[in-house]
Amino acid sequence: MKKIIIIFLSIVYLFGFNNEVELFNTLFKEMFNKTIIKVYTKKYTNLGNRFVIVNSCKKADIVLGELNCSKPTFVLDYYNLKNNKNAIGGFYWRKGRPQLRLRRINLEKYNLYITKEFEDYLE
Amino acid sequence: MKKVYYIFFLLVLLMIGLSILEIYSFKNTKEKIKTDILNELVLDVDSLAKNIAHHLEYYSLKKLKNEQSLKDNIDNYLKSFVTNNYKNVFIVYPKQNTQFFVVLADGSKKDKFDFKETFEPLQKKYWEEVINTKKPIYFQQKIKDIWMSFLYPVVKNNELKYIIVIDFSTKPLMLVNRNLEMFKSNVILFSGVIFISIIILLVFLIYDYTRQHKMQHLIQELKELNDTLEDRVKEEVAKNREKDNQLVLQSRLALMGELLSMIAHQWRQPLNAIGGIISNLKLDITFGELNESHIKETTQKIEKLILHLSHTIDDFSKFYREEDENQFEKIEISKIIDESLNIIIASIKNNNIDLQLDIKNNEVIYIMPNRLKQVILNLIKNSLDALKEREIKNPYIKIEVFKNDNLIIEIKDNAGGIDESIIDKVFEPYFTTKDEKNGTGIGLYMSKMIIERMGGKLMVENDTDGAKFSIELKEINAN
Repeated sequence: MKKIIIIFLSIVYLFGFNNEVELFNTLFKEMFNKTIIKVYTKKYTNLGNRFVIVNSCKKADIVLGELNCSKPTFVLDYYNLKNNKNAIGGFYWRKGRPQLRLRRINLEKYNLYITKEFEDYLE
Repeated sequence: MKKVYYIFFLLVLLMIGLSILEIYSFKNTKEKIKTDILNELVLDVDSLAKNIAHHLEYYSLKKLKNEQSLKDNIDNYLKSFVTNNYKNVFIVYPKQNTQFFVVLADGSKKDKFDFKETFEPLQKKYWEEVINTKKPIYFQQKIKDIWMSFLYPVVKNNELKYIIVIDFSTKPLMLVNRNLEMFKSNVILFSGVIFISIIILLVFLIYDYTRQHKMQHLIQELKELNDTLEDRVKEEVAKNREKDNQLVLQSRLALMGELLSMIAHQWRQPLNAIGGIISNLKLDITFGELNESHIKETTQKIEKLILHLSHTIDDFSKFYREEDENQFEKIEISKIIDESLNIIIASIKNNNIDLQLDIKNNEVIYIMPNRLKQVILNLIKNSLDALKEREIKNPYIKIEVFKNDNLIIEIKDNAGGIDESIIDKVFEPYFTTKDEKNGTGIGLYMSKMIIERMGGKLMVENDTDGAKFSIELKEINAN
């Protein structure tokens, strides 16, 4: 019974993350003009075909999540977005509503590009 | 019968129709209840939003936008409205040329917005509608979510200042909905039970009706059978009576055969006497002694003897004559016995049997005379045969007539009686102790039947010397 509950919760958890992963996939693919994008993150283990999860800041093209690294960072929390100087944007939940923000200054600073569909989220 | 089935199907259709109507009515009622409850909830939220708007109307938008300390005060004010039913209460205004809104104040306890934090709402069409129409609106955040958002635009000089956002719970609605669903299930269950019960009742009623119909049919058949049965019984009774009559006749004919030989004996003596008188007459003629007085005396003797012969013939022919079944007549019992004995007396005398006659009561009775004579002759003949067969010394036959409650005729003899082992069977048809030549076995059976038909009884018992037959006749018949 315990195993069944664990499997069930894992599936729910994975499906919950699917939309976020898809968002990162779409967003990051256009930002970097590269075939393989190296992502330094502790939260995700798989982001899709073109992404490689790395475990050091040095090797990374982008940091995903709240990690101490001077590379362009995509945060997952409002307060980090507010305070992190390297933040190029963030995705977080406020009062049950998903929030996506892209910081124009930092995107330009790191020469990162976004497609038109994400322009509405620039600030 | 077909009519019953039509009614049955009509009732079933009616029940189905009523069920559909009930489901439709229930659905409508449910929607109405939901709408009313939601309206009530929205009314509450609207009042709350108005109160907040009324409280904030002292502050200019500019002040609200720029003074963070004011936000803290307003946050505390809004916080006082946050309950289990009001999760988020915050104030935003649209950010020019973006899809975002800027937060001015937030009374939430958890996940609290920062001052001037940008906020991207879900279901943007409703937010746009509020901006365009400047009228309050409410909508469900997600499908089947219990939380709804109420957007209350605060407008001044036809210009939208800000929007008060209240996320309110529709839990009461959900509870009512859940209870209504439970009620619906119960109603369906109850209706199902009622429906099945009515079907069972109808089936039972049809079964009962069919059974009663069949029963009535059977009763009718039985009645018809009874009606015809009475006729058939009458017919069979008539047939039996006819058969009995045939038996009576048969037994009388058998008796007559025997009586004829007795009459032959009875005639012999007067005929011999007549023959003797004629011989004497011839001798008188030869010796020339014939004179007028002698002729007169002789002819008188012959006439007397002829009269005796004639009486015997009359009695016999009277007995032989068939009488109707209901040919009852009033007659003295002594006459019956006399006429019976006239037929058989010669045989009794020829066998040297002592005939003892004791008529104590010569009553007039109402009977069928020939039938009673037949019985008496049959009983005397039986005694005669038994006395002859057993070669009894000093034989006698005693006929006694006396009155008890009824009139009793007893015929007894000294032939030794009937064996006790067969005495109960002597009245059974075709039972006889005689050989085939002398007995048919129907004499006593017919005698009993004749007496019973006249309303009397014929009984037998062994007396001291022999058998005693008692004929009991009810005197009441004489009236």
